[in-house]
Amino acid sequence: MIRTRNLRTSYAGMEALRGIDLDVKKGDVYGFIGPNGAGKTTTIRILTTLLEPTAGEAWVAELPVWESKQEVRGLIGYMPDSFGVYRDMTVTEYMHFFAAAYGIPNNERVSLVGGLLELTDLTYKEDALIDSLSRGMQQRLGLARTLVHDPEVLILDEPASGLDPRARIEVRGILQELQNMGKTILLSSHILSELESICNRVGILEQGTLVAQGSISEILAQTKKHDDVWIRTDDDERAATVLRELPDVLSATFTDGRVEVQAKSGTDLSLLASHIIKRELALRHLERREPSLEEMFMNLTEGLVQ
Amino acid sequence: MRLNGGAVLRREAVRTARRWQTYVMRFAISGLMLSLVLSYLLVVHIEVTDVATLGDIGRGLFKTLTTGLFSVTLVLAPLMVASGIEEEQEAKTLDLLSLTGMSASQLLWDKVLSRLMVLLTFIVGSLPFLAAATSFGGFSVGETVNAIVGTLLAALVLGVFASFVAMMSRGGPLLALMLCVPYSFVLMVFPVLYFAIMAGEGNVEVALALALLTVGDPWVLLSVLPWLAAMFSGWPLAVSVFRIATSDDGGQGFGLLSTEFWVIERFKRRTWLMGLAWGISVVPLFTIQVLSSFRMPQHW
Ligand SMILES: Nc1ncnc2c1ncn2[C@@H]1O[C@H](COP(=O)(O)OP(=O)(O)OP(=O)(O)O)[C@@H](O)[C@H]1O
Ligand SMILES: [Mg+2]
Repeated sequence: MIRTRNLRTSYAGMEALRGIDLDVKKGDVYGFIGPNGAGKTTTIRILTTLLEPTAGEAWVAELPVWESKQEVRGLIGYMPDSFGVYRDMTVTEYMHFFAAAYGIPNNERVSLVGGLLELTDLTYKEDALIDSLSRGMQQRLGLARTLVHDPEVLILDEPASGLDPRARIEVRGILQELQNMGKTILLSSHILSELESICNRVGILEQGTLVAQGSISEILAQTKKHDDVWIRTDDDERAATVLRELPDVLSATFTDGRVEVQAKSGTDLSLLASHIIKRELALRHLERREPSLEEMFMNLTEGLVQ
Repeated sequence: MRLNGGAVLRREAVRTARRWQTYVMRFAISGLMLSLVLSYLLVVHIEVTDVATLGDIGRGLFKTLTTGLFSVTLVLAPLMVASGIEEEQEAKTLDLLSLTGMSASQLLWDKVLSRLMVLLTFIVGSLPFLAAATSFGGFSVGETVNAIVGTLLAALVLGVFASFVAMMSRGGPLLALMLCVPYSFVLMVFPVLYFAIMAGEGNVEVALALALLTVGDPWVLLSVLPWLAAMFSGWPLAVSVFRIATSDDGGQGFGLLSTEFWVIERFKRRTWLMGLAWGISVVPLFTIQVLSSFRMPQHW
């Protein structure tokens, strides 16, 4: 649905994107992750026809973005990182305005706007001035606005930034609903825990380079150097020493009332358990730790720095 | 053309009506008009000996008011339009609007027209003063219409110009103004010239009115713009104001006063004209005020 090949952009000689190859499939919720200044917004502005890349190509629904701007504009719903507000308009007016701007006929607008406000849970605020809305509500209104022309692809720049946990969960709920409606969604964020629960695929951007792309488990497999195992016994200190005897164990340290073990990838956990029991330690807890997206991200970007 | 034409215009109308600044501006412009009337009457001492001198006063007032209105428009039109565009850039809504498939020119036209509509309400708001001047006589309804239309055309041209400046650059309003200022200094030459010619020919009254309008106040300096337009007589927009301010033969207050009969006729006619002018000015003004104090319909 969204594809870029060797996308490059420079701002006054400074390379912001250094050859990006994105692949977003139909129905994906694609998380675009990267630290501040990585080039997320720049990529998004290219995909939304607002910025011409210095080199490379981008397609949305097989349409070359820069060459078929008008068609692409009809296909995408874009929410910028800063919400475009008209302070002195009400929620309904704002929605009607964009509906009118998209050329939606008058008689369809009322039900359309009503439906979208319901979807984003803003019906009770329909007559409120936008200025008076909380950040979370404004973000939801922004989402409702991107849906006015029923786009196939949603491109959302930091939809969760500046939101408290509750508001984030609300936004996530709406995004899930949109995914169920069959929309393809690309969203950027630097809050990783945010993306873990909603994205089926992610791309990790670092200084204008896409360092990894794929499903979260794929990327995990790619980046994982070892298995992390947490173990608790009746004598953790001795357990750590005991575990180090095993050839598959790379390290075992006693910290925070548990043994943190780094074992070779794919190590059979029962091997660790039986070894502990053999040494007459009482095994109380054994857990394979899946690294979070955050750890994965740190691993990846660490790799870049080295 | 897509169906979306005018969406911005309608939205701007609603937002303008909701802003208290709009009403303050209207008040300020009316205040300015009033002070123009007062300063004219103070500066130009004309002893009222007969109806003809009344006509002179009327004509002088007319010139002062229309030139004042024109000057205000010349400053406000580019400023307001440019700040409208600027506001859109600031709120980052320009991107969103361009993604709707609305063309840039459509957006610009809507912006220009919406801001000029505000100016129009200012102009309409100053019509009562013109109407008051009508009661002295000395100028025709045609001239009034001419002056108003000329002012609006000038506002349109400058508004379009400013909208392009603002689209092309950051800091649009300031730039638009900056572009006008050096321009106006160059054009100072012309009012000075006109002043010299006018005073030399004994038209001290016109020369004084010019001096009043061009000396001292940097805002009023901008009022010299019409003189440029006047130089290219093919230009329609400011020619009317030019003619009004420089020719003294167009008014009806002079040739008609030779007999008692005409004097009586003139009085009758003046009363009628005054009523008409008040009607013309007050009805739309009232309508706009009433409309804008209600919430505009949302489902446009
Ligand atoms: N208009 C611009 N002019 C010059 N440099 C720019 C411009 N926009 C972005 N940059 C630079 O390009 C790089 C990428 O910026 P971009 O906004 O795409 O990052 P981002 O990933 O969206 O960051 P953030 O998380 O802060 O939003 C940054 O180094 C930024 O300074
Ligand atoms: Mg960004």
